[in-house]
Amino acid sequence: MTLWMQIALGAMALVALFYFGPKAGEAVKNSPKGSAKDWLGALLPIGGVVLFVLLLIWLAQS
Amino acid sequence: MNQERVLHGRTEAGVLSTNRVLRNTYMLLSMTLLFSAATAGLAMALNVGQGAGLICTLASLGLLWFVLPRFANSAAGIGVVFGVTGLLGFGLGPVLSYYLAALSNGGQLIMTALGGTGIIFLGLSAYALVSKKDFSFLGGFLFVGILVAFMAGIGAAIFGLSTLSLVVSAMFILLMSGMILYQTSAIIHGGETNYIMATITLYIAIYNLFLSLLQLLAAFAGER
Repeated sequence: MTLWMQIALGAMALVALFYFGPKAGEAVKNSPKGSAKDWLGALLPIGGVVLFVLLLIWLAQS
Repeated sequence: MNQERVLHGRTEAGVLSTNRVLRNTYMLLSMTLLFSAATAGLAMALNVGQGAGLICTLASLGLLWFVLPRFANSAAGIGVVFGVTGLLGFGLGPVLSYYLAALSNGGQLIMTALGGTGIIFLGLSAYALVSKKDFSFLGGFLFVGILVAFMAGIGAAIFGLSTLSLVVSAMFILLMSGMILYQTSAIIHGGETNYIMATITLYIAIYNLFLSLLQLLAAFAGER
């Protein structure tokens, strides 16, 4: 990666940090809290995605 | 007598509005995906370099962060969405060219990542639509998680940390999966009534899922 690409990416990271950093804090504060059952309902399909990705890697290797 | 019908605790008008947002979102999403595939193909045909690809990606992020929110409630927002997705697709072209040139099974891995992304998106969307669960509680977690993963990804790219890059890809797959659940649930529960914003959120989730999956597949199954 050339120097100008590194500088451009670094500048983008700073912009994102200063622009979205404060908003991230607000989002956490204002976001409704989920119960253990709610989290389980979200983690179940995401666990399925993890297994599916592992299957894809295994299929691509074999 | 003007009496509103109530279906499963929601008014008929609310249900119709949700269906309209959902239909418009999926229609615009399919058009933007086709458009970015075309611009990616154009970039590959023109043999565009990594630098030009990066400039297009940065320009698309500028449009996404600073221009789209101003036009999201007008017809001009649709043009901005096509601008963002076209530039992201054009920026993707050099990445795909790199995988095709660097790996003997690059084409196969790209198709696997594409198919895998489609299956993940359809599966998660179907889960959110059928279960009708409310995933609004994921909002804050996703916002912070994506910001952290984005910073870590840029750090990995600047300093050439390949292991961190793979960790970021794995994080993005989990976060973008959560994003699909969150956004689809927001549409069906009336939390998102703007199909332009819904479309761009789902597009970004699909785009990141595809890139992250491709990177993981290339790292673990790429043949040089």
